[in-house]
Amino acid sequence: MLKCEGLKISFDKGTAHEKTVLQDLSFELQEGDFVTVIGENGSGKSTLLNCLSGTYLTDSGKILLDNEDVTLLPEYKRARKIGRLFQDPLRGTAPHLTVAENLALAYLRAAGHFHPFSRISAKDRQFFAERLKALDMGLETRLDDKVGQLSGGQRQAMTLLMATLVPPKLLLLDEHTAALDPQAEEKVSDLTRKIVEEHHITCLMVTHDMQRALDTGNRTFMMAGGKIIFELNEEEKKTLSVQDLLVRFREASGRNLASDRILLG
Amino acid sequence: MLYILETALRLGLFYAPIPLALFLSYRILNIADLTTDGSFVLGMAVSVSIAALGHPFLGMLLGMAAGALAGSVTALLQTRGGVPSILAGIITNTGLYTVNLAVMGFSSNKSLLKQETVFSLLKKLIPGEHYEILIGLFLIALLCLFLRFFLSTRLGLSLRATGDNIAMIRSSSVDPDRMILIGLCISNSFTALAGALVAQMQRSADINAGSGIVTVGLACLIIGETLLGKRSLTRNILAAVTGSLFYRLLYALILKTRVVPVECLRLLTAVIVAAAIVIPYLQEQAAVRRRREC
Repeated sequence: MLKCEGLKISFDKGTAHEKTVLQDLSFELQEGDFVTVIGENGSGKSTLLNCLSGTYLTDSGKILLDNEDVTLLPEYKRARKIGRLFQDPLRGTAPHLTVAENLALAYLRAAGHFHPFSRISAKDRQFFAERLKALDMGLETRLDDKVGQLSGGQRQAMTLLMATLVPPKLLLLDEHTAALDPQAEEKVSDLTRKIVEEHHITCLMVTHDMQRALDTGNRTFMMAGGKIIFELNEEEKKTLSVQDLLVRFREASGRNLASDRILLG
Repeated sequence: MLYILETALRLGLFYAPIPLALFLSYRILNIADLTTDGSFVLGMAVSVSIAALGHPFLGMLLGMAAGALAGSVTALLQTRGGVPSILAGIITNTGLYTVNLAVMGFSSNKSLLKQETVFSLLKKLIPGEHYEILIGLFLIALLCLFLRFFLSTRLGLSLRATGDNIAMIRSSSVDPDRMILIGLCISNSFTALAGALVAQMQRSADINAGSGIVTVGLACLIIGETLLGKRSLTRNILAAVTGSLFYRLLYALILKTRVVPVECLRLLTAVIVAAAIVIPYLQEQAAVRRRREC
């Protein structure tokens, strides 16, 4: 499904500040895998997602998605297969367009069978309303409101819907609930789990909440220094506690986890 | 007085494609497109040169096509060549000076003497003396309808989102570079159309006729938005046209009454545009300062 081989990327090449962020990173995901990714700040979690989505091109290594080599494919072309959510809820939607117009754009990902001069039909609007209703946030009555008028939680839920309106091959979630208030965080997390399970989407989720990382999905990667230093499978995730995770981290890296932002749960 | 109104209406309509073009490039795509001055003259030059050969309608169309081509140069410079967008416009504009001279046969102006123009031909079909205004009205209505329709198509939506949130448009699998190319081609063909119309109306093209026209266009846009507000797409489009009419009315009144010396009009225009952008910014800053003092 997704195969990464020897991914390497460094920034500020050729200067004194050169920093290698991913070093020789390899892993493979099976169809339907839901992987949570944890690690300290600067361990390369977000960079990994940026490389997978095509925001950054890797210096070397190979990315195979669905048996297609996408290593050098530009971001907008990969977007047909990859959906993505960021921490900033404002990043995934266009504030001056309406709810319906934003959804219509997301619908474009469904591949090129839309005529460029086609308009949003009544049937489209009905479909959008149905899907919005499933979010249970009252958005189905606000199709013609500008997205800029919605709350952060509503916008993030909409972004989630937009990323999965046409189920992507791969969904990348970069701490997508971290900037929301506790109530919205709960809501968006539940929705994420529901939508991912319903459509059986392969998913990589970066989080700093260790307990959530253990509770969610069927695999967990621990990253440090641009590598995956250990991985947990479904069985281990069920039995291990956050304390056990910290012990595993010390064993694998020879030091304690810097826990400035990581929630120990 | 009636004559002033008529002149203002006529010029307002013929110049209206420019604020419409700037609405597309500046408001929708968020690009200050400085190709505008050059593509206006390009439209003039092509339209007059082709009309001189006896094809006034073809001159209009080729003028628009030439404008679109100029827009594509600016777009490609910034999307494929890594040139900052303002500089891309300036570079194209500089190059267009020579191109425009060449189109006019390396002369700084070109006039139509007895050749037919779009207006002299249509005059035979349209009764009454207001045929120029009717032609203008018809064309501007057509442009407005096109813009309104286009911007609510899926392609138009992608264009609007490119200016609104470029990260989002990339993750919607739309190539923003292509959107900028399409947007600037359309906007510059509009600008060139204004040049083509004005040139055939006054039966001449002049190499310097475009200087500062981008600022005038922005002033029209801002005046229109102040008068009509910018709550919906339809309103935004109508505002661009209204602004153009109002600006030309103001211009005609100042010419007539000489409250402000005509030589100062450019300065006044520049002040209007600068003030319209600076004042809201200063208000924001003042609000922050007040909060700091609390």
